[in-house]
Amino acid sequence: MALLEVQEVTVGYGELPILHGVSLRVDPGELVAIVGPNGAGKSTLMKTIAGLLRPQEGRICFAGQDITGWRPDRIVRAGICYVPQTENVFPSLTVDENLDMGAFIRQDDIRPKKEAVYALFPDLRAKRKARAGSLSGGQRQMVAMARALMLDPQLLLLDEPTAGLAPRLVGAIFDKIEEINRSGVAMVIVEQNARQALQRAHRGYVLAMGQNRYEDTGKALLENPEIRELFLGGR
Amino acid sequence: MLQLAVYGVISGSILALGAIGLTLVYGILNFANFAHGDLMALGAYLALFFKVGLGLPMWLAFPLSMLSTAFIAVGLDRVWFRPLRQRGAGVVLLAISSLALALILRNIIRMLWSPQARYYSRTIHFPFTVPLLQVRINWQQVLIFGVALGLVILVTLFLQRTKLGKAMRATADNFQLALVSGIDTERVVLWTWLLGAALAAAGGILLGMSVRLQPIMGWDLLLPIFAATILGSIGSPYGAMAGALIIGLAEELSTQFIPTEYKGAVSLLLLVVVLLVRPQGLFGGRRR
Repeated sequence: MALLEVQEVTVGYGELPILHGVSLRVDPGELVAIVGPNGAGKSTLMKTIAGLLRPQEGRICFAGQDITGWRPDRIVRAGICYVPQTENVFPSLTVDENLDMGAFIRQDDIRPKKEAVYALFPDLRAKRKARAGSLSGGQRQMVAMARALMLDPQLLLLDEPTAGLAPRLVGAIFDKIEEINRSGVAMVIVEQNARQALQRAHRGYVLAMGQNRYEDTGKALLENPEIRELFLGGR
Repeated sequence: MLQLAVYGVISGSILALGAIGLTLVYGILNFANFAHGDLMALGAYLALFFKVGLGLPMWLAFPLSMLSTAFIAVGLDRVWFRPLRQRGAGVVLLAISSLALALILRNIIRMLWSPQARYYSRTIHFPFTVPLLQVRINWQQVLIFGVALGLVILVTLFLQRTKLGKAMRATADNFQLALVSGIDTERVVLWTWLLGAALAAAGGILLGMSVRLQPIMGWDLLLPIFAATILGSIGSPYGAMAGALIIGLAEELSTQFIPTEYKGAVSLLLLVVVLLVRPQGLFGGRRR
């Protein structure tokens, strides 16, 4: 059974729909990439799954429950954590406090989880007392991912985790994403870096003009000449 | 000069109590609450009611006023601001409606307690000279500063150490991220009003002790607490404390050079300069 099932969702800000009947499926443990041109509605789709936007039509099911229209904190409790593209850390809080906030709803001892997260992102351990706002872009992205991992989510949504990062950092972030995924966390990543994302993902979706255009394994999408022509810049 | 600096620190500590609540409400609910000064005045007058009206001692009237002001503020949020928020009212609408609330509060105070100046007590406090520093000060001023400092330290500990305090700073930092982190933002909003209003009441009472109570006092406080908030970067409680200290010192020290009546203009001047030179405030590195 699918972990997440987005069915024919239509979403918009105000009257104007951004997504027109988009569907998406994520199986347990899967790494799914969503690629597509700017303005295709990729971020809107992520915000909708996270509960920040309400679908006007369609349904979203997660782990066998209909979560359509749930409040964001309830969706978090259900097991979906979301990392926005920008402003994804609490800048005036320290790295440590950012992790505390990621675990806000946990009542148990969070120290072991924190240790595990620091083990995954060793660079952050040295910076744990530093304000997140003072960190570099790559480190901030790691804080954002670390915060979202504090709840042991079943599904992690990453919106453009490599946007604005230096090329040598992009590979490092993708490595982390694969490492997290291998530990059993299903993930959806939205990416500008379509080629890398599709290479690493199990499956991919191409979104354009607020509609699903293609859905296939990452490899097959990369080899599809039409997609290469239209979305991956030729070659 | 040192004498003025001492007065500046005292008035700065009173302003800090007002500025903390203002900056938290601004950071979390994203609007400028022009009624915050009058909330301070309301706190001061409620203490007057408890002390002079009911004849309670000040040490009891003080926390009672903080508590009742806190609950009044939550009630006002429920009937006044929350319905507007839920209808998606913008920043300007909320700010204007807070201005209306400020006028209502001020005139209720006028109706209930008369427009004349009132005092908690008629006792005259004689100053003494602090050895070494050569500063003249009275025991009441020492008490005011002590209480204000104690409260600021308590709030700092609360914001620094407790989960709710951290969540408050986090929500002020980034409301949407707080939502998707699972932070119960409704509860954070509730506690922000409770905390902000209780501190506002404390600030109002201490000011009433050091000067006098007047219905207009909330209005007079508005400019310096806004200046302190903006100076210290909106949404940052620690910045607000530092900003309040700077404003308090600047106002008092300025009386060395300009007539005392223009003291209030100093915070306006500082505000204008900050907005021109460093609009994000002295302590804000963050961009929006």
